[in-house]
Amino acid sequence: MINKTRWHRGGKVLPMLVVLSLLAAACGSPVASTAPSAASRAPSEAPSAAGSVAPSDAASAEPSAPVAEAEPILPGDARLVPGTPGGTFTGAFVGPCCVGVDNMNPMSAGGDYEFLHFVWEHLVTYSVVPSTASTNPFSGHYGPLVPELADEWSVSDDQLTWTFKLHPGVKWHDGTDFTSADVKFSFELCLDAKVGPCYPGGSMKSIEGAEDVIAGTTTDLVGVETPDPLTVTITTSQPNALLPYNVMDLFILQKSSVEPIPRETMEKNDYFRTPGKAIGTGPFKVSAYSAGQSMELTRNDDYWRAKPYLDNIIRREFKDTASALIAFETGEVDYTYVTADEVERASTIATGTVLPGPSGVNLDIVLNPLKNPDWEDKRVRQAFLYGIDRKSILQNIYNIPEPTLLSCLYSDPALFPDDVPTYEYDPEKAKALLAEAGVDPASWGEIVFDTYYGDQGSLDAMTAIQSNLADLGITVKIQQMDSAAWSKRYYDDGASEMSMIGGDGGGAAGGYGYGSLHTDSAWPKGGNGWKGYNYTNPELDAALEAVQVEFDETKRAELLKEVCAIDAVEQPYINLWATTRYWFINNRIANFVSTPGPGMGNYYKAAETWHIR
Amino acid sequence: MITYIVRRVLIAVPIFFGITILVFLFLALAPGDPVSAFIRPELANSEVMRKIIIERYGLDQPLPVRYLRWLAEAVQGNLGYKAIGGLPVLDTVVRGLGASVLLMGSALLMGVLVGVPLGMLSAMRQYSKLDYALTGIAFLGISTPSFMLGLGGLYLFGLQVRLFPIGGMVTAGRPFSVPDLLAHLALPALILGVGYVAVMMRYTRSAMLEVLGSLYVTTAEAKGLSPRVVVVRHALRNALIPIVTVIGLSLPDLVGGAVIIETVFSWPGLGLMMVEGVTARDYPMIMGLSLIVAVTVLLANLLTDVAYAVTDPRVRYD
Repeated sequence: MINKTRWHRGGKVLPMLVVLSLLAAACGSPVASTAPSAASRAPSEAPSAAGSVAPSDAASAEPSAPVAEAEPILPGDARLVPGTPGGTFTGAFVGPCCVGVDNMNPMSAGGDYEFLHFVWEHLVTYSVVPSTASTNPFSGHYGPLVPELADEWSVSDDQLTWTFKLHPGVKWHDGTDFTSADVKFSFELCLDAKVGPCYPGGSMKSIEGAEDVIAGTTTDLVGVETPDPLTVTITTSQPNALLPYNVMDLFILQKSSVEPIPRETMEKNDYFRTPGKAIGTGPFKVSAYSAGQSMELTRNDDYWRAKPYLDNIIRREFKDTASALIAFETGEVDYTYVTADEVERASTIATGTVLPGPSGVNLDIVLNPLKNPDWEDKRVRQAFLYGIDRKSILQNIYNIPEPTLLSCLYSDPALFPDDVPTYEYDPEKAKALLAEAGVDPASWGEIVFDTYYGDQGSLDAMTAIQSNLADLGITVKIQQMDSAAWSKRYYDDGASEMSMIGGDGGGAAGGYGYGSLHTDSAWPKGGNGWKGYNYTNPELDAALEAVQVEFDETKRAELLKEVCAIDAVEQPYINLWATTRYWFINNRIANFVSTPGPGMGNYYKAAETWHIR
Repeated sequence: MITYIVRRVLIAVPIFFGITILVFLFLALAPGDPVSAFIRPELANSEVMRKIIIERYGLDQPLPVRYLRWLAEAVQGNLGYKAIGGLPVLDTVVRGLGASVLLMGSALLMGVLVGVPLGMLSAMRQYSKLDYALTGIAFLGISTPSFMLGLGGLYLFGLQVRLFPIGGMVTAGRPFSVPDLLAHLALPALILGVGYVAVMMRYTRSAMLEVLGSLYVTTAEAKGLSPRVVVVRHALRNALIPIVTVIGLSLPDLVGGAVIIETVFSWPGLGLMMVEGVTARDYPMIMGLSLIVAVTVLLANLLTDVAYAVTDPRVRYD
C-alpha cells in the first residue's frame, strides 16, 4: 500500500492546490451546478473581486495587511489564540444559506447543512486559507483537506481501496464509543433511497455496490468495510483520486440511536432536532429547539479535540437580512450574512468585521441549442461573451474596482493556461464572430432571458447585458421567475432559451466540473443540460476523466489547466463571473474561521476555540 | 336566528369543499412541483430519488385520487408533513395560527380601541384642527408601506432607542415568559396597529358624520339629552354597522397574517408560512394553510352577519 495522500493530525501543511471556489458554497451544494434548490440561491451575492474585499479599518478587529499566501488554519494552529471559558455565540441565519431551523436532518438539510457541523462531523473536512485583512477573525477560501473523524487516509497500490484510520477515543454525546460501524452505517443510510434525498449521496456512486443500495436491491454497501473499530476501507469500482472529496460531506451518524428509526419515516422523525435524542460527536450538543424560531446548542465537555470555550451557540431564525443587521448592531446577534449592497453600511459598524469569501458559484449564461441551432456554434457563444461588458457591469453595478473575469469555470487564476482567452469586452470582435459563423441575430427574434435570481442586482446586470446584446443586434426580454417555476421550465420542459444561472464553480467534490460538463453527468444524473439536451465533447470528457484518476496533486493541477483551456474556448455554459458572499462577525468573538457561503461550509471552523474576547 | 345560523353553516360546507378543490387545482396548475423541493436535480442519484419520492407521495396518481386521498386524511385531522423539514403540518399550522392571531389580534384590537374613539372625536369636531390632524395621520398610516414602517420602527425603537428586541417571538436561549413575549410582540403589533387605527378612524368618522346628521339624532338633541348620551346611545350604535363590517372583513387577516411584517420581524405566523410553502411548492403545507384560512373566512363572514343582528335593530334573521 502506498500513501498517495497521507495526513497526520497537526501535521505540516501540504501545498495549497485546490481551486479557489472549490466546493459549492451555494447552500452547501457540492456540485453547485445548475439548479436552484427550494431555498434558492443567492439573490444578493456579489461577483468576486480580484482579491477579497477588505473591510475598512474601523470594521476590523485587528486590522493588518492582507495575508497573501497564508497557511491554512489547522487544529492546534498557533494563530488560534487561547481564551477563557463561558459565553454565548448567537448567529442570525438568514440569506441564501438558510431554509429554516426546522430543517435539521443532516442528510437532506439544504443550505443549513453546515450549521449541523457543530453537532455532527465528517471523516475529513477542508481547511481555510485566510486571505482577508483581518488576522482574527479569519476568512478566506478552502485549503487542503484536514483530518476530522479520520486521522489519516491513503489509497492502495491498485488505487481502488482507500483506507481511513479513525481517531481513537472519540465519544458520542451519550458517552458511547464512536467506531467504524457508525461510518459504514452512515454511508448505507445516505445511499438508501428510502430515507429520502441524501445530499452527499450523489457524489458516492463510485463506491462499489453504491448503485445496488441506491436501487434498493440491498442495504449492505459492500464497498465499505470495517476491518476493525478504528479502520474503514472504501473500495471503488474504478480508481477515483477525488474520493475523499466525494465522501467529505457525509455526516457520520450514530448507528445505535438512528438505526431503530424506520427508514421510510426518517424525513418526518424529530430525532435530529430533539435535545437528548440528537446525538453527534461534535463540539456542541442540541439543548433546546423552538420550531421556526431558534436552536440552542450546549458545549460538549467531552469533545475529543478540546473542551470548547463557549457555553452555548444559538441559532436564531431571521427572514430578512436588514433586520438581522439591525439585531447585529444592537448586539443581539454576533454573526449574520450581509448582502453585497449592505457591505458598505456594515463596514461602518465598529463592533463587527466584514468577512468576504468565495461562494463557489459562478454566474453563467446558458443558451439552449434545441431552441436555436445557431447556438451550437461555439463562435456564437464566444460572441456573447465578447459582447458583454462584464468589467463595466462589475464595476458599476457591483462596485468592484478591479474584478476578475472568468475565462473558464475555475476562478483561480493559477489554473488558467497561459494562452487562455480572456474575453475582454470587444463588440466588434463579437460581430465578426457572428458573421464568421454565418448567423444573423435579427432572425432570432426576441429571446426570453430567464433566471431564478429575483434580486435587484441581478436585474440590473441582466439589463446591462440586454443593452450590450442589443448592440450586436440581439434582442432579449428579461424574465425573473421563482425557483420552482424556473426549474420546471429549464430542466423538466427544456423550454428556456437563454438563462442566467448559478453555475458550477469547479469544486473538487463535483469532480472539478465533471458533474456539470461531462457527458456522464447528463441531467438528471448530474448537472449537465436539461431534458432532451446535454453538452457533449469527447475532448473535454477525456480531460475531466484524467483529472478523476490523477492521484498526484501537482499533475492534477496541470490537467485542470487542460480542462480550463477547453472550457474557455467552448463556453458550453458561458462563464461570466464568480460570486462573493459576505459574513459579518462581532469582534468580540475570537478565532472565528469562515468561508465561503453563509451556510457555514464544510471546513474546520475551530469552533472549540471560539471564545468571547 | 338559530335557523339562520344552521342554514349558513350548511351552505358553508359545499363552499368549503369548493375552496379546497380550487386550491388543489391551482396548485396542480402552478409550474414546478414539490419534487424540486425534496431533491436537487444535480444529485447523481436523482432519477431513482425522483421516482421514489413521486411514488411515495402519490404524485404519480391522477389529480382526483390525490385530492380524495388528502381529503380522507384531512377530515381525520391528518394534514400530512411539510415537504421541507418533515414537521407535521397540523402542528406547524396551529403554531403559526397562534402566532398570527396573537399578532394580528393585538393589532386589530388596537385599531378598534384607538381608531374608533379617535374617529368619533374627529367626527364630532369636524373641520377642527384636531380633525385635520387626525385625518392627516390616518392617511399617513394608510399610505405608508408596511415594510417601511417595519424597518423604520426597528431602526428607531429597536436600534436607536433600544426599547424593543429585534425580531422573533421570544428571546432565544431564555425560558419562556409572558413579559418577554409581550416585549417581542409590542413593536410589530404597534406597527400593524397603526394601519388598523387609520382605517377604523376613517370609517368611524365617516359613519358618525352620516349618523350625526340624521333626524333622529336631531330629535334626541331636541329632547334635551346630553351630548354624551346622544353620541354613545343613539349615534354610535348606528354608526357601528359599517364599522362591524370592516372588523368582520378584517377577521380573516387574523389567520392570513401579515407577510411583510412577519418577515421583517421574523414572526413565525401563517402569512410567512404560506409564502414559504408556495415558494417550495409544499403541497401539504399550502393545503393545510388554505383549509384553516377557508374555515376562518367562512366563520368570520357568519359572525359578521350575526353581529349585524346585534348592532342593527333593523336586521332580523328569523
